[in-house]
Amino acid sequence: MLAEKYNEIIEKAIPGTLKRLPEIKRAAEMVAEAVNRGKRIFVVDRYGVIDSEVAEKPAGLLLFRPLVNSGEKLMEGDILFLSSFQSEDEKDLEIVKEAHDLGAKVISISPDGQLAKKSDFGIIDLDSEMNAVLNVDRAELSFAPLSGIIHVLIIYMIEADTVERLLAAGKKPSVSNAEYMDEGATKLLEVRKKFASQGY
Amino acid sequence: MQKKEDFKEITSDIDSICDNKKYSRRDFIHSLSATSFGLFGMGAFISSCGKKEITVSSDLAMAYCKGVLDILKIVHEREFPTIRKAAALGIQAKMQGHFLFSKMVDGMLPGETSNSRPGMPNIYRTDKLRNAVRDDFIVTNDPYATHGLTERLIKVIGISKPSLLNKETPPKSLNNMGTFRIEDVSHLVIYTHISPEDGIVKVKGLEYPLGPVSGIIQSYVFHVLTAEIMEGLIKEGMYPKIG
Repeated sequence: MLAEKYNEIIEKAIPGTLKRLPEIKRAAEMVAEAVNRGKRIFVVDRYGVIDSEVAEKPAGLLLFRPLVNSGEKLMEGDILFLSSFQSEDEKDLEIVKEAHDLGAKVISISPDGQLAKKSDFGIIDLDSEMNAVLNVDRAELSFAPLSGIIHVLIIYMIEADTVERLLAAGKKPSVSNAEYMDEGATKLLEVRKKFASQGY
Repeated sequence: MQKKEDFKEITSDIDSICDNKKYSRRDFIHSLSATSFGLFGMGAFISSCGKKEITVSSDLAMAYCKGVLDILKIVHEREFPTIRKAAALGIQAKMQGHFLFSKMVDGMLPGETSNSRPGMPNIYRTDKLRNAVRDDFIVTNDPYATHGLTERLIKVIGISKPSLLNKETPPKSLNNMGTFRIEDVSHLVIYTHISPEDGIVKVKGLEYPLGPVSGIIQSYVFHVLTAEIMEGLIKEGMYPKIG
């Protein structure tokens, strides 16, 4: 029953992200503009959910890369996607401030609140609290998170829209392939080389 | 650029995506194909959007979202009985005083299934998997993590894309997947119904399909399984700590 309830909620939440299409398209536009200026795109979140997901994920764009452990530093004009499950967290707000100090732009994906307001562009994940969508009598806290799934969905929708914009501008983005596919390791090396030389 | 009214048109399509239609395997293959043809194969889709003045730039994002939902509905329809069986094993193990372990690897999964993740019930141990003993319970998407544990009569629940060949599987795609498949080491396998490439949107001009779904679908399966186990534990009067 709880499993069915979770399923019911997620089956509404996923198409619910289409309400954010205008924001998703605007974020993709910002990414495409940054690529045209030779800038880089990074992703960060404090729980290691979203930034781990985009790290050379098969079928994902190499353009979107994790900031943590990358050895790279944000520079002026770069874009940082900041995913947060909370809207007012001090540490997340600090990340925004530091990114701004370095001249980077921040696109946040979070619940509505201070984080979205302080970012250069805020995508509100959904209207309701998604860190825990199930609760039962006598349980102290709610459980069953949904926000990670929705944030990843939004990131990949932004990637998809970015691809259309880059292709329309005559730029062919590097898409990571699965290493276990036929000659996958060799092809992945080629994709990495292509990304290193063209920057997208 | 897209006008404001156009977005109303797009969001009005949400209802059609949310319908409660029951899906067959044929529907699944159709839906994958439909979302996978990208600019090339989505001609009919794009031309139908053209009538509503939806620009092409919104279509891949929308196709990806719809593709994720289609797979999720397939998993719901086909895998819930297995998920319930797996949950029953987990509840039984916990009630008998055994440990539940989880070892989810790749992409978002370690973070998403971690005990420190807000909203995550702390019912699984994520460390010292090799210390598991008879009748403990492990949920994993990594066949190597559980190598040898099945022989110790540990209940292993695998979450995986199917490794059975079918017409959707590209030639030789499984050659490099390793010695073990999740089926080789699991009591029960919950399939994610994802193609080997992981991506679901084919785009003309790109060599590989776009839009990975494995992280989303595996997280969904994990959370559904966990919710089912939690319900059983709560019924038995156990209220696990939540992260």
